[in-house]
Formats: sequence, C-alpha cells, structure tokens
Amino acid sequence: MSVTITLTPYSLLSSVILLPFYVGKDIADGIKDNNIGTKKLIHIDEQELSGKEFETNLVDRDTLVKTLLEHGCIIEKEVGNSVKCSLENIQLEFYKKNNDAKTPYSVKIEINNELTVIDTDNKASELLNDIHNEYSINTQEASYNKIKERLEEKNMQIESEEVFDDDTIVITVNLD
Amino acid sequence: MAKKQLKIKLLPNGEIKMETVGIKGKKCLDCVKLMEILADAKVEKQELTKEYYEQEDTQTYYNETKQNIKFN
Repeated sequence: MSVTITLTPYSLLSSVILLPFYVGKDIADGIKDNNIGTKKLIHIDEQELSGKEFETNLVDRDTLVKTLLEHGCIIEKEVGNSVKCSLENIQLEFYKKNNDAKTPYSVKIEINNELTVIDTDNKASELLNDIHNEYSINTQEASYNKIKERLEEKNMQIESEEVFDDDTIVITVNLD
Repeated sequence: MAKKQLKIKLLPNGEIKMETVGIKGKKCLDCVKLMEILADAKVEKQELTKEYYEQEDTQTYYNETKQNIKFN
C-alpha cells in the first residue's frame, strides 16, 4: 500500500460512538481520568438521567429515525429536525441547537417512574447506547450502498467483497 | 507486476478506511479525493507508506473533469 486514510461519514460527528456520561461502575475501555478524546465524561446514576440533556454524535435525521423505529421506539412527534420518541417508560427528544445540517443532535431524557414497565431491564442508559450502536451500523449500511452505487456510476470494477466476523465489510476495487 | 487496487473497509462503528495497493508515488493521492466523493465522508487521518516515496506511477486513477476513469 502507499496511502491509508481513515474517513468519517458526514452522518456521524465522529466515529467514536460515545455519550458524555457513564453509568454506575461500567466504565468503557479507554477512559482515563474521566476523559476520552476531547469529551469530558461525567459519572451519573441511572435515576439521575431523567430531565438531563446531552450532546450526541448523531447527525443525520433519516438515519436516526430509521434506527429508532428498528429498535422498537414509538415516534411521537417529528417537527423539522426534532424527533420525539418513547420506549416503555422512557421518552427521548432529539433536537438540534441550530438548523445547520452538520450540527449533531442533542437528546433530552425523561423517565416516567409511575408507568408500569414490562421489561424491567430496560434502562435509559442502555437504550441510548443501543441507539448509538445501531445508528453506526445503519451508517455502515448506508455507506456500503452509496459506495457501490457510485462505483457502478464510474464504471469501476469490484474485484471482491468480504464480510468478516467483526462485521467489517471489505470491498476491493480494481484500478487497472 | 502487482495489481493496482483500492481496498475499502467499512467498519461497524461507521468509520471507513481505505488503502491503495500496488500504486507507487504521489498518484495514490488521486484516490483520496475519489474516496471522499464515493463515500460522502471527510478524511480524519492519512498515512503515507514507503511506496508513496518510490518512483511514481504514470497512470492517472481519477480525474475530476471526466466521467469515466481514463488511463494513459
């Protein structure tokens, strides 16, 4: 090889899928002194999440809505870029602080402790982490489809495609 | 002679990595711009390897003004 580049799709602020908090004693790998990259992490208890707002690294509205629906969330309201949804007793409101398409979403969390919850393991922190992980997988899928379509438009020949155990997809393109 | 290829890796965290194979010299940088356009993505990091500093290829791999790839 002569050059290796790493790229982040415009639908993600960065490829590090991370919320700016950690819950309980579960600390993600790579956290040192409560920092990861440029983000300052805060420790928070699950019960304290209700009423809190955090910035995410999710950027694209369509990918966000697709992810929420696939996860089983009920979309309650969509106005412009804002999306309000719920799952069991957890309500999430995703919004952008300005109308710039590249601005990442912030999320506001509300937990209704008076509602009977069928799945008692359903926690807001896990829901947010699941949404972040599934959003990134949807981003991978969107990138794959887009790249294939554009390679075809440019008459570029695909030598092979492989999917590895860790779900990495490798497309090899001939340039000769 | 080694095949000239582009390896595009799509990771499950959304990140995309691309490496050129068999291309010597600065011509490999043609592929960087190509990749940004193919993937609607921005370059976060770029690493040049020793092949970059070897005698340059004469082929053109991507030309923004042309629809199809043309080779010399």
